[in-house]
Amino acid sequence: MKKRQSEKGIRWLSGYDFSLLFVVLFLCVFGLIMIYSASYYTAETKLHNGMYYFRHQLMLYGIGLAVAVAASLIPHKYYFWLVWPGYAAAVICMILTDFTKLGINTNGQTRWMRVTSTISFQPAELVKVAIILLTAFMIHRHTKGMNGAKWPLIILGLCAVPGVLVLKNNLSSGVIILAIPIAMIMLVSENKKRRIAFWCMLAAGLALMIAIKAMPLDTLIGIGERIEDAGILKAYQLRRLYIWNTPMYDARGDGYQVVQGLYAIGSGGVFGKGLGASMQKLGFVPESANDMIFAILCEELGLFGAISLIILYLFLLYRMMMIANRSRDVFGSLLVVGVMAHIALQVILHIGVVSGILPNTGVTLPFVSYGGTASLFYMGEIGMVLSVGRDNPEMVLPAEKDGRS
Amino acid sequence: MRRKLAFTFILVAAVLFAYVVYLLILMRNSGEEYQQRILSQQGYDMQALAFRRGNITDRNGTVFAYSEEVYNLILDPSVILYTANPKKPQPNREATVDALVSVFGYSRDEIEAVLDEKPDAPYVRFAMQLSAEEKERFLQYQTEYNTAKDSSKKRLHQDRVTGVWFETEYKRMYPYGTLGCTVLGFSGAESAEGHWGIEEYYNSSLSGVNGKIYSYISPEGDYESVTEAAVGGRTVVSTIDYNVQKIVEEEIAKFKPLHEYKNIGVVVMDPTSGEILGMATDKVFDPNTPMDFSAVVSDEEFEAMTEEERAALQNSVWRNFTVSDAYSPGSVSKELTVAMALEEDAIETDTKLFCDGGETIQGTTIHCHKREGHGMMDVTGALMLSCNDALMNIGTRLNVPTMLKWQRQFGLGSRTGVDLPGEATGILFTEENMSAIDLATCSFGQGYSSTMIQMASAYCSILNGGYYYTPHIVRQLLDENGNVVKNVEPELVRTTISEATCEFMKQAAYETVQNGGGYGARIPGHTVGGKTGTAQKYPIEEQNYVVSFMGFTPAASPKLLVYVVVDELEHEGTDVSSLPVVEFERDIMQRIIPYLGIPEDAEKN
Repeated sequence: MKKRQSEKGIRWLSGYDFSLLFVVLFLCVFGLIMIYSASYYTAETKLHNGMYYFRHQLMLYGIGLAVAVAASLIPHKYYFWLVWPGYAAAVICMILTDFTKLGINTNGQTRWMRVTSTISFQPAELVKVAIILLTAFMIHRHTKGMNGAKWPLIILGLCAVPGVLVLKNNLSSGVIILAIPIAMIMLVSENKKRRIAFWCMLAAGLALMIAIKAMPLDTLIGIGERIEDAGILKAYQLRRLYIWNTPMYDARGDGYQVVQGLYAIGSGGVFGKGLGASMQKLGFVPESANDMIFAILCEELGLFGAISLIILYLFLLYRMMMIANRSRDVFGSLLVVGVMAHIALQVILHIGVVSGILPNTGVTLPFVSYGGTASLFYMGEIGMVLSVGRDNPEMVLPAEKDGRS
Repeated sequence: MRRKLAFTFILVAAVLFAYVVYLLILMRNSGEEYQQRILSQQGYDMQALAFRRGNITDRNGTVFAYSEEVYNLILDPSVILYTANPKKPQPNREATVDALVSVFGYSRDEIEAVLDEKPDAPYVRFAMQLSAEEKERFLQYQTEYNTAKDSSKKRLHQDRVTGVWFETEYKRMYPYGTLGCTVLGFSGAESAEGHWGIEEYYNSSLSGVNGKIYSYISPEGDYESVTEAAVGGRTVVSTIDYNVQKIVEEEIAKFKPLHEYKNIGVVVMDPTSGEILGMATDKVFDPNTPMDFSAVVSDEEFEAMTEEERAALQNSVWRNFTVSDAYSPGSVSKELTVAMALEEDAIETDTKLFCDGGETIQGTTIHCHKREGHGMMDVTGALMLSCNDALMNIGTRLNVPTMLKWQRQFGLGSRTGVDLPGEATGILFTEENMSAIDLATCSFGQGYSSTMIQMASAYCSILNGGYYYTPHIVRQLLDENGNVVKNVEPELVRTTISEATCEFMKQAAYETVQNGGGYGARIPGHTVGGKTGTAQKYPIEEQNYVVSFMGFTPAASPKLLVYVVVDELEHEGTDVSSLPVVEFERDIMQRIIPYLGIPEDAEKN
């Protein structure tokens, strides 16, 4: 009896990816150190409590860790049950935020939803998780249908509902919410034509971006004036393009954040000024602990620190890829792929924005940036990935519903 | 799917690697420059924080002067003229100038001139003391304009209202306008410097310390920023009573149109402590607009004036006659002469004196104001009749050194130390230049000069039992939170005369009002003592007189002293009546008594 129990115990934990959990915890601790360093000055001067952001984040990571471990212990087949309630909750929260007084308006954008007088959260983060669950579930049910047009369109249609609601106030999150299902569908779709079209479009978009970014400002303004005359884009939209091309175009106005971020990164050098020694965090880089934390990291730890962090993220993605490959069912596998896509997009967008390669928009760096809601949901996602990673032979999910596709 | 996933992973890795390469290039190409920029923008952040000047209140906390937050308009031409795209030079200039012109109505040329003159200056103080409402109006215009531009279809790449900001400062406010102007003085445009009155004398207490924010790079290359908060000035609680001051000024205003005069001064004191309860002259200005002389001269006249004439005008309007001008006190000082003679045992209280209408000393005849003579009288009678001959008799019984010693004892000839600026000393004789004639005239208040505050303070010592206190106008200094920093206690300088002499002097003054020359000062229900004074001004030929009255109540233990001086009161020939001034004093005292709660101590008839 005793022996069987212990065997069962071992089996119960077999496949549990401790190195993935370790990397995540490492990133979280690293993030806490960076938040402490980046936010101390602002918190001390504005809130008279230098530890404010650090403490808040520490508490959330405590809760987040519990969430992750709990989520990892639930067999992932039970996540089926979360798909539709999660989706419904996401849509309802977005509607409440966008159209009722529960939405908190800051700087003209409504990104937060009030829960109690002291607790509020960003429903966009909930939408991201709900979309991953939904897409994984739909693809699981209609794997073969992914080659056709009907089911991918249904999935994208479902994702577009909360996606558009998010897009209204938060461009970057909206883009991520729509990009995740596309990435997941493209990964399972065997339709060659579509694949070629996808890569062509991606390459074209990339080429356009590189062209705009690399073009001399004078040329861009020249083109911009013609586009404006043709009535395609408005002056203020073009202005953003000019600032993206050359942040110095409006170094004291809309380009301020990017310019200050560049000063931070550029002055850091290869090994940085040393932990805690950033000068730009002293009120010059706005959002130094969340949207711009990578700039402070570069200033303090230099290129060396940036590369180390990137390697950590790559390792994290690699471990997830292994789990996705190992999963015995499509749902589990796609769940992991969705989380991978989410984290990879956040990292690419964050670093791209901070270093001025991409147009300025607020994106947090997973596990490192300050941000209550986001960190809780990230930890939940990691819990789901760990759950899929557990090698549980008893876990057999309902087969794909044939005939419907 | 595995292959595709692996490919995607490699793609992500490639993008991140490309980022690293980009960052490396950025650091190699611009690292140095960016570091320099960081250092330069850190040093840019230096700012002064204005302090708030302390309030001035009356003895009961009524606020006479306070400082209100106002805003200075600062232009930053380096921002307004900023050019990002050489094809469109200075895109913000027009919009910003338009905004300033349309919101505040400034002259366009003036703004353009500033911009052209100092194109690189980050700080040009363009306008001062704007109200919060004006500031809000501009900010609203700016927000609306810039928001509209952001969403407009017109091609305007950087057309924004920018480079204008507001600096907080304080403006001095005097809620009661002209009330107490002579005592308060005023504070200049920057609210940092006091002129005249309490504002000047207590300037260092009223002033706080400017705060500052300064930043520097430590030797380790760390950025340090230090903020020193501004410290507000002390609140000055004066001894002035709002009601007393108001009554005094109202009565002066009533007196003014009915008479001709050169100066009027009124001092109201508490004889027991030397506190000044009210102080005013006929010169009125509004400390809110001290440079506005339209009440005295017309604008055309003012325009036509030379610098010196303007300075003289300002001096005459702002100057405090009661402390800054010395004059011959006249008969009011007879109380002092009698008191010193009693102290020196030169006379007794029952000494008989004879007036034959004048005295001839060293060949010069000095007449009494009653040429036919008062006849025989005692000391009290000499005061009641204000007989010059009798006083000269007393004077001759004293000698020159004794007279000078006692004048100094009564605080004449030197500053009293009152806490107001511009105090005059008055001029006394010296032992070397004082003749027997001078001794005689000094005994009835001619030949030397004193200020109102000197004479009032000397009287206080006679009325309170011989204690000479420094007259003062400030009771307390409070800090920003209303805690007492300093209490100004009555400062005993010296004792003057014995209590017995005091009692006699008070009784004599009471008799003077009851049955003598101060008859007009009687107030039903109250015992009033007092002494009139009519002094000839030099040169005698011009026949100008300083007419005054010193009154106090209750006669036995005075709580209130009112001293009124009218300089160059109108008169017919050599006959000058002190009655208008006596009644003037009575009107003031009669109205003050109920406010101070002095109980009735006499029959009402």
